[in-house]
Amino acid sequence: MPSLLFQDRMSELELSFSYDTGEEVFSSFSLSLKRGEHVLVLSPPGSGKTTLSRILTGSIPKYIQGSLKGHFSIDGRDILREDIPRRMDAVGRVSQNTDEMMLFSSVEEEISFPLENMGLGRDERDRRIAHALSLFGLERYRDVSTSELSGGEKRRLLLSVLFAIDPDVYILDESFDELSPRWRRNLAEAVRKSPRTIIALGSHELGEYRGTFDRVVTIEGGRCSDYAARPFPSVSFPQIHKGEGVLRAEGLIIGREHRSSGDLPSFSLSVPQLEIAEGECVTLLGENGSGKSSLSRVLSGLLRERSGSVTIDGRSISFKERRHAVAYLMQNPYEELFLPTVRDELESTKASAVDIEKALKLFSLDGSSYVQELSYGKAKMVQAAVFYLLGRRFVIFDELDSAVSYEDFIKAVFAYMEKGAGLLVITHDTRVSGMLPGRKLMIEGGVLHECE
Amino acid sequence: MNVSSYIYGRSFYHRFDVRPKLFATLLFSALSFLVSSYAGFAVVFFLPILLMFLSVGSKESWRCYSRLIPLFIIILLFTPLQDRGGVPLVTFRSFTLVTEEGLHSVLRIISRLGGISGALMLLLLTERNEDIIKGLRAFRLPYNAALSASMILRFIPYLGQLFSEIRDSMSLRLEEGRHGYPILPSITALAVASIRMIPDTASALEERGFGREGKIGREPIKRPRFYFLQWAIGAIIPLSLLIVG
Repeated sequence: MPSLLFQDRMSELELSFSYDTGEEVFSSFSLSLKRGEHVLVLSPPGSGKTTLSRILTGSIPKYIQGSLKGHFSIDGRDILREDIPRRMDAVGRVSQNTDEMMLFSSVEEEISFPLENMGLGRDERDRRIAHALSLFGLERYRDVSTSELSGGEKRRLLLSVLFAIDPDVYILDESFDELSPRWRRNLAEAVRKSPRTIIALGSHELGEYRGTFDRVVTIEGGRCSDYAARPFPSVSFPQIHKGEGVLRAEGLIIGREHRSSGDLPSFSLSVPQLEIAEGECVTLLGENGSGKSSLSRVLSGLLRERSGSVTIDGRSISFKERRHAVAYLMQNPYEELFLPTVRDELESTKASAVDIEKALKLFSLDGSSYVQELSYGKAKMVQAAVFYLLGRRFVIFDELDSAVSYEDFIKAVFAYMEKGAGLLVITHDTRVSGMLPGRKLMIEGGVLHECE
Repeated sequence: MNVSSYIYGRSFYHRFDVRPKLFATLLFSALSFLVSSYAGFAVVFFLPILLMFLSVGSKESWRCYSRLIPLFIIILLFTPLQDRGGVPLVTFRSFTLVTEEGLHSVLRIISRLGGISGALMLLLLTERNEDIIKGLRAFRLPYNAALSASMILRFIPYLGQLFSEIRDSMSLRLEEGRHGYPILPSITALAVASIRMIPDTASALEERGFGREGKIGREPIKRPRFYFLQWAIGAIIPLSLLIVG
């Protein structure tokens, strides 16, 4: 860790933490931060990043019990000894799971609520709300219901909330993930310009991190240490052997009204033609809110199209039949995991004991772990293992790469490709899309087309 | 917990101020218990439907009321059997299936359930949750109580949405040839997700400063045009139930 001049030192973090289950997460974790320093913590899922962010903001140990020792001093004030609401102007976070932090039904109210609690007057609130919304391109969404936002838009809203509160220390928990390249660049720019101390937490290196942070550290064995940069994994994917089965969509029109606002035009996506063969890997790119998840829901039979057809092997398939043929790994893994342990989840697929053991090994999972206690990234791997065992012919990964390590993501793609499934991979990571074999599709201006 | 039932619109009920709207909703719900005639039951049941139809259209009105149909069917099937004393209307051999009193009970329960649910749904469809909090605050309800009331109002549609998400996810895992979704695991998953949401929501509220000293009070709501006329209409509509009673 670099030596710091005493007068530059603003925040001192020293802590040890174990959950009540006995699992030790941090032992003598130590991090010093200069005022205005931007630090990136890069470590694999399950290493304690989200636990760290929750400890600093107070959610742990108040709402998730455990044994916590240590201090987090900001200008001599020990934040860990203060009530959660009092910490608000000292430290704030953008959580990895956006849904857990959404409280209100309109975008404006979501930002306004903390500002009112800070005692800010109407004019100052309005100024901060307008600035935060413009920073993340949400001006048009001011009156929109938060439940009508896409995953990436929700992330931008939580970023707007944090930038409007403007605490001394910002914690960005996997905040670059789920953002399109354009908004990742915008966030990187906002971080660079910010005079505040920023701790960003990530599971894998992104191109946008370069030049954005003053230093990079990692968490190893519950302690903070310097990060040793690793080269981007070079992978040779299995040769694509297109199977005979083809999932085809023709003339699809997908639409959705913004029920809560009269100013926004309704969302519409046109898919003139889409083909995915068994054994093939196709990558889908597009802005936040462009309709990638909506298209996925239509292909997997969870949302009805306005017009058009979906066929498999040339045969038109009903809405319900699609659910048996197309697996959809949703953006938020917790929406698809219901049972107590990882093993319960895998056994619910009715796979044989041998196959379950194989899947546990393949996706680096511990069968006895409780699903609700897993990190977001690990929960994504459970989700991948469940659908792997279900053996659907076509599979959609909706940003599976966010919050998981590149190694785990590659492992999942490999496993499905070797099984001969037709893959549609949705990603915002340009390095991932460049690495993946097969065709690239893009949604632009409400139309799906193939990239040259 | 971010579900809103609000639908943007410019109908007369949308333009109604939230305070008389809240008053009308509560008064209508309370007075529906005083109604005992068939005409009164009809008014209690159909008045919110008419207002909803005029405010958000037939599609949304059907979407809201269709969720109540299973409950209506259960009431229709089982209530007459529990209330078989009185003038028989339908008999099967010597067994009385429906009596006049039984029919009266069925219509009373259905009209109250439909009427009160309809009035509440109408409020949620035409007012943003934040405005409902402001309205409750205008009635001197303490801030925490108003926030809790608003959260409870949101909790119901949220559970509905959560359940359909769980149902969708469950249906993606079904074996070939099976349709629908497993009911018991879905309900269990809903219960687990709801319980899990409690600490997350509490923590999110505190992290956003809830419970902090020195917060500013809400600015009073401006009075719209025809404010007193709106109050009068808000009182007259529910009071009409006393006439048809």
